[in-house]
Amino acid sequence: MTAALPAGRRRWRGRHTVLAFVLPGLLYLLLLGLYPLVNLVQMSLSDVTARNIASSAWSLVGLHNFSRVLASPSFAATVPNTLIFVAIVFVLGMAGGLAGAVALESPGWLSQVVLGLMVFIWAMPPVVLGGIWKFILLPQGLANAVAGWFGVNHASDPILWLVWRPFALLSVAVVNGWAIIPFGTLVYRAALMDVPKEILEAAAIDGASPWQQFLRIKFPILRPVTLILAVLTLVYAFRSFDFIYVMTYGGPGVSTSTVPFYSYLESFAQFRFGLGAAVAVLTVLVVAVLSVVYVRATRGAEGG
Amino acid sequence: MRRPANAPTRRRRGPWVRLALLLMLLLYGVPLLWILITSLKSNVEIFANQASVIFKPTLHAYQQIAASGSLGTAMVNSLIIAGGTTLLTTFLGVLTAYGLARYRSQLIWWILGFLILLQMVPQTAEIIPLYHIFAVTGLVNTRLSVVLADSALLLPFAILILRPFFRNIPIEIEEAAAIDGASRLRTFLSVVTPLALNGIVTEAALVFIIAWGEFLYAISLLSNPGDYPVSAVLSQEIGAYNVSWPGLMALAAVGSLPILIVFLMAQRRLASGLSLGAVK
Amino acid sequence: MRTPSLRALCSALPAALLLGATSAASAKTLTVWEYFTGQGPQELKQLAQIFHKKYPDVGVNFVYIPYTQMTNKVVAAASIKTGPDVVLYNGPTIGSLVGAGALANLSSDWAAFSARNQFPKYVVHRVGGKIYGVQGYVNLLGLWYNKTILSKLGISAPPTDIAQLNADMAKAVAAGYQGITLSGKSNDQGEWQAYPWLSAYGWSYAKPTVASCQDAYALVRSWVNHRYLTAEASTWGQTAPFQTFLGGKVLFAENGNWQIGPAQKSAQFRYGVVPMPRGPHPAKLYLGGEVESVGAFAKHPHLAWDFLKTTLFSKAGELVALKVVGSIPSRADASRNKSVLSTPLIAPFAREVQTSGQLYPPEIPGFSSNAVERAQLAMGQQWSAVIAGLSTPASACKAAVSKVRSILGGH
Repeated sequence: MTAALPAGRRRWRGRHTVLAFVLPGLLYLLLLGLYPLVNLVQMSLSDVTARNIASSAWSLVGLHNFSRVLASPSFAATVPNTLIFVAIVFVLGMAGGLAGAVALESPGWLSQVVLGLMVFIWAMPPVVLGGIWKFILLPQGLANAVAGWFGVNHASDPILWLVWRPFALLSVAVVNGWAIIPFGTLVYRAALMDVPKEILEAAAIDGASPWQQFLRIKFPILRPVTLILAVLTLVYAFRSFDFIYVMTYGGPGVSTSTVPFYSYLESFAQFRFGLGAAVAVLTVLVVAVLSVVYVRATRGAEGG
Repeated sequence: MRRPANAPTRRRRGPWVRLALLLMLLLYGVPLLWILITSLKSNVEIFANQASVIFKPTLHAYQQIAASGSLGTAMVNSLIIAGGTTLLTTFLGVLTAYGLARYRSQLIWWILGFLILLQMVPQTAEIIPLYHIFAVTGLVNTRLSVVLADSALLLPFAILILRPFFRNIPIEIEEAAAIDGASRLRTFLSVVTPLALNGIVTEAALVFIIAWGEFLYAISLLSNPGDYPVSAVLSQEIGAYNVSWPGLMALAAVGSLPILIVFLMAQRRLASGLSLGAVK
Repeated sequence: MRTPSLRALCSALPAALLLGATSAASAKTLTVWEYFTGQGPQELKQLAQIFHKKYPDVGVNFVYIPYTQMTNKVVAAASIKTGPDVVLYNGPTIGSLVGAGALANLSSDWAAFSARNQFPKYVVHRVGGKIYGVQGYVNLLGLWYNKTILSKLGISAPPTDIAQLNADMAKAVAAGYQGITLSGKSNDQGEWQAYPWLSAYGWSYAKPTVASCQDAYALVRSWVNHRYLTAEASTWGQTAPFQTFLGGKVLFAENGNWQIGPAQKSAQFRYGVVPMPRGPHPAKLYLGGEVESVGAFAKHPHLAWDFLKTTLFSKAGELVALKVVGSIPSRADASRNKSVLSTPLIAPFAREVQTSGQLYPPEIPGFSSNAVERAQLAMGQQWSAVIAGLSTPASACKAAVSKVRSILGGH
């Protein structure tokens, strides 16, 4: 195809000038994005505590930090926490997102209001959202009042949403899922808008029910979007930090600590930077796998 | 470009859909309303009955935060940090995204993979190395360091959002300008950028919104709480158990006003454009 | 008119970005990092006034750092060779701070300080034989009680031992009140509040036994089971439980002398305080309170030391802390002051200092304060887990004691 173009155009599509556009941003990210990662790996292989964090002459200890982390019972507890947390956020985000988009397809002022509301919630700072939910979930809060109306509990015997096992982990995860549903809704909504109207009308004339229309026409169109959204939601759930920090700070004990949060606690509450870095490196390895999936999915969608 | 709201189907909504919409209205409306209601309560009312809906509203919490003056400082800090991050990220992001949109090579997948990897790294993993970089350069404890760190955090995201907008601009338009003798940079500035304006505004709004809410870098890189943005102040207050909930919610309400403004300005673009960028 | 102001703005903005909010005054200014809330800032203001009498030209800039961020910030600042002139912080973290090289060695200043004999041994903090910090006052725990509820229940006197305490709480809960509030947070604050109960059953870090731990933790667990104590306490620091107590529906609160101010300000009922109840053994109490140190990277180290000498290490300064916040002075000439021993709320605490005070953090010969800090944290985490119901007293104590032994040796 390129060969058919005039010489001037071919040069326009050439690589070198375009590369100049990429350079500043790429350099910035190499310095403030990649270098920190290299530094992190170095720290994970060294004995770093508050004592020697200042000097960069850390003594290498090989994989010692990793073996200590993997043998630690607190770390062991954060792994199932992470799996449960990610699963809840993921399922809520995807299913809620799709359900929201389908519901918002219907016309009317109510759809408009709900859509606006959801986008606004999604835009609110996570600390604010985590804060209001923490308040709602207090023993005398709104959540227990509502549960009281349904006869689930009594005021004298409130549910301790952010204390009891497994309520604490579930509560933080569900609130986190609630916060990400609007994103899924927006993505699915845009994808549904791209479904050609003519095909739907033709199907309706052929007597296909809305459910059949959804399964046969819309669902195939949503599939590539779903794959990419799935990766994004997974990653969002996995690196989630703000809600845990604000609502429970990982507690009681480590019952709401996920692996990335545990890494933060090791580094900044215990000052065992080497161990914290080792945990962080483990999490980066997990997301690295997910990023390969993402690139493949995007590549497939763009046909590159 | 603008579609009427009822474009996808002209079906009338069934009872299930109406129920779902009402449920969503409650789930997303009540917490928002609860922020406002709580901010209008007195501490005594909170103590007596947190879940009350009928009470004597008071502006006491708002008067207190107005009198303390710390909110003003925090808002200015937030504006400097979120504004600076938006400018820097958008400047670098637009250049890079354009370059990546027009660059054809296998290398591009490696670069995209790198961006996505960065996008996925937990923020907690980057704090210590960043702190060291800023310590060496003497920038630590400055709001500038938070701007630089937030930009590093958000630049991959910005590039991924922006790239599809540039890809959607037919290259023939540029080539026509090139035949007229315009240089690449001039073509980019005068032809390409205006066409991608929709995407750039979307990206800038998203970056501003996320930077406004970011607090981990702020509490980690700033020593002086006088430099804290609103989000960092809130994170410390909510974590501190001796909270005055009305005061906190008043702070949250006022501190989120700029988000409301950005939201109102960019709502339509967010609702239709975000997904396009985020996905493709 | 417009141009100069615009120019000023343009040059000021980058400067503001670079410098943060540090004041660029030409006169000398001392920077003091602290985490004081409530009446604390008022105390600091009055201390600064004492200092200004001697040094009218030196400013004092108090920088509030949130409690949970303090160690972080000091360590981080030291790692780039900066830091405050003076830092007021929580005692157990001294090991981390000295380890990070953040604190100045005060040994020779202390040796030359004429009033040093006024200070009891337990407020002078040594790491590796060198003095790095001193406490101008101590804080400790007592058992607060709601006198109004007590008399409604027909109880004539507040409890002195755990059996009486249990009986009183049972009456309170039967009458629709709550029994007690305390901190069960999974950190140093939780351990600080667990220690009086632990020691009442014979616990000591030098000789940790599963049995003494289990007695104490089973006690607190039984309170949660009997609804004397809410499991929510597992997330409380030391402020939330006292606020709950001030709500007037709880009979007891395990809390400190620094709550005298808040109690006087907002309690709508009669209240009092007694020493912590004893078990098979008398309860022992950590003598906490902020440790005062000079930063290793202080801009004005001599002024900083003089600031401490004239304020929190002076009789006048310690009396300010007593009057404003209720802190118990550590200098002998200040704690023997009439106002200390005659104030009903202060007297029980002052008595406790003499009878059952313990060095905080506890000193275990041969082990660094850093190791002791980690052992304490292990106890605090399990304390929290038991209150939250995440762990049984038996398994919690087994885990905690094996951790403590692995850190501090078998004994």
